[in-house]
Amino acid sequence: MSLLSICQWIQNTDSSTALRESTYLFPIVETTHVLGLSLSVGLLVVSDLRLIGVGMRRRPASEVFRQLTPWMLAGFAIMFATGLLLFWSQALKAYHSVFFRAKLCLLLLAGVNAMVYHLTIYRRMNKWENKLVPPAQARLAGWLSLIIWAGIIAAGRTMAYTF
Amino acid sequence: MFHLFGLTILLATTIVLSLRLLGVMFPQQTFPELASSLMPWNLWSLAVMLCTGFLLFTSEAVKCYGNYSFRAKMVLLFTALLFRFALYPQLTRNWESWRRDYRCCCGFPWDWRDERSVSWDNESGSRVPGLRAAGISGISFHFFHLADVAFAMRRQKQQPLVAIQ
Repeated sequence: MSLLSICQWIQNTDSSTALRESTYLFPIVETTHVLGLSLSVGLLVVSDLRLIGVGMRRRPASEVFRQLTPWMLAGFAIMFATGLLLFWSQALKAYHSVFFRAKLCLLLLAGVNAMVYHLTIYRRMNKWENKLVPPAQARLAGWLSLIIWAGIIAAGRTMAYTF
Repeated sequence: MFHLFGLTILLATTIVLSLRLLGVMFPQQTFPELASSLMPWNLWSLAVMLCTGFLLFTSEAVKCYGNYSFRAKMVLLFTALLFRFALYPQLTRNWESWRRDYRCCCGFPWDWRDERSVSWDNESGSRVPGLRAAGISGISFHFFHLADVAFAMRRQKQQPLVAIQ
């Protein structure tokens, strides 16, 4: 069973068709996905700005992350759920879209970046959280996160267009 | 794309500042201190959104004209901007002890960096009705504005192009 046949099967299900052709449900899912993006990625950008030493420098980094993380995770949960629904409704289009594949690769990269950050420099945060200029490794993690998420947003937006 | 980037940062900073007013986020930090960090990003992302939004409009002006969701979006946007620049400073200003410094901050006329602390800044913010209103309204207007976007996108696909009269 190939990936293409799985996507074709998904596309042909009644639920996928109903969602794709609905007047209100699809826009609601799309809207929620965009709002979730602002909540999750937006707050992630704020925390990355702290990580690179540009925003909210007078507050300890651990306090900034502690305040933002619950809302960020809620936003990611919303995005994941709505993203799954959007994929379910247009599985075949997503399969054929090179930008969707790029988006998934970048999502994976973002996850790896976050994992490396949490396993390394995050564990030593008590040593640098009050510094105006965080250590190079923290700044690198922040910049990578910003660049990767900018790429994810760009790829996601470009999916709507065909070249 | 840049419209989306601006939207992400605008809404994120609005959420953080509004939740501070509601006393939910960063309760230990004074509002002027938080605003001094985030307001420049808020205002510049708003500028990016307005510029890119205008360019997007010029590329599809007739289509936008015929789309009622776009008209609703413009009304909501105007309301959000009116709230942001007219009511928001009023609701978050303490007349008694906070002298507002009108020096330009990154090119905009509000300077939120007055550290001569106000009495309400040390409160959580949630006990002041005006601040609660500012917090709730700040989030609501932007969310309703965004909620209209997807409907506009959907209806653009369904509505035929309106002929020029």
